[in-house]
Amino acid sequence: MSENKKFNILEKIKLLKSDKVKNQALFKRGGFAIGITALVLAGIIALNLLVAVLAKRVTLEYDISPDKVNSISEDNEKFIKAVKKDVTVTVCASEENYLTYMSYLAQNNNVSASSDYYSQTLKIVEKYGNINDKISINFVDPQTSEFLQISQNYSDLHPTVGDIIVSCKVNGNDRHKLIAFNDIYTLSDPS
Amino acid sequence: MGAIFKREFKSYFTTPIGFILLAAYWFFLGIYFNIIFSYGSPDVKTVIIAMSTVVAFSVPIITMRLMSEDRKQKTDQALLTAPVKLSGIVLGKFLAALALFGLCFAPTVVFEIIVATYISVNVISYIYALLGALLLGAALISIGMFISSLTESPVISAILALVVNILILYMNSFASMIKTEWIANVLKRLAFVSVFEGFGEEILSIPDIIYFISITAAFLFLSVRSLEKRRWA
Repeated sequence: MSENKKFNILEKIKLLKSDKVKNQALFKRGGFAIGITALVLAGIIALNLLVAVLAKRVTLEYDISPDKVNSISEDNEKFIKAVKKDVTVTVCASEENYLTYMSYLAQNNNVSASSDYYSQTLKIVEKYGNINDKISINFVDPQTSEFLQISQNYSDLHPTVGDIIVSCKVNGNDRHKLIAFNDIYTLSDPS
Repeated sequence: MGAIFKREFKSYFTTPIGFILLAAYWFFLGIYFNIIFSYGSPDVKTVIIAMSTVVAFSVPIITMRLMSEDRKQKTDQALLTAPVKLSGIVLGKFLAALALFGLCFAPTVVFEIIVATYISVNVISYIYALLGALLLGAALISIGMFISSLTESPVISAILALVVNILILYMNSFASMIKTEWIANVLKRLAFVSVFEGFGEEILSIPDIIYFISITAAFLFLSVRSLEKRRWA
């Protein structure tokens, strides 16, 4: 009887040990699986971050339009690279609403065009900053106090929504120029 | 993998799903093309880019049964014990869904030919927009497939995929609600619709292509892990 009981206890210990081993194996395999999954996902995120950083240093975008309308010409690029003084390009519109503002301004002139047309300006302006670190691009939402400040600073220019102000300090004097909607776009009434 | 691809692709047409989906796509493509053509700027890439909302709503229908149906019908047990790699199962099903999705955009080839008879067209920008649609579809299909692998109910899978699709496609719309600027900027940049619209702008962007491919790869990998978990559960 006592021998039988002893046998049962030994059996139970064996079973418990095997369960423990099984659980450990499962934990190890589960942990390994989670580790691999996390590693792969982290790798994918890292790849995207790397590409985003690279895109600022190397050209990873190629103009496939027939007339190369989204590109800066070689001569212009040389000119931009030669800029030695700090230049600020202030776009009087938030980046995300620029196309909407432009469409609205065009509609005021009874012209409607694809937003692709206006996005060319954004792309080209942004390229200026990428080509030369001396050129900084600043988007200012007209509904903010920052725009009010800019309007006061450049009161002689009377900046309005969608205008682009190019400014530079030369010998302590501020030199600036305003590029208005009509300077950038040529409108023609289809009717 | 080839056998699974054939089985899945055929299954779309043994049920009305495939036909209804093709009809819906071709109907919307036709309407958009008609609007743009009559508007006077016949640009087929604009038609493709305009389809993002239709894609958001239709992809869950393509993916809802991909994994969950096998679980429901218990055919997954045969599949999981068959001499085929899990990656082969996932890829076979994914490619079948992607092939159906690609077929949905077939009429745009005809549109491009029609436009080319009137004016000179930029075929490269059309192909790039089409590539964008396929990459967007691939990313959304892989997400839908992963969701489908988590449940055995195709309806739950479809609803979840639809919610995720809308969130991930239009997360730029929620950016204005977020006060932290860098998070708002990330949401704006990563929203599928912002990236997809870039494919219609005649600028070939390597980061955009890598973004969609990496999302696809991540969710295909997660789908394999999900199947792996079921195999050993």
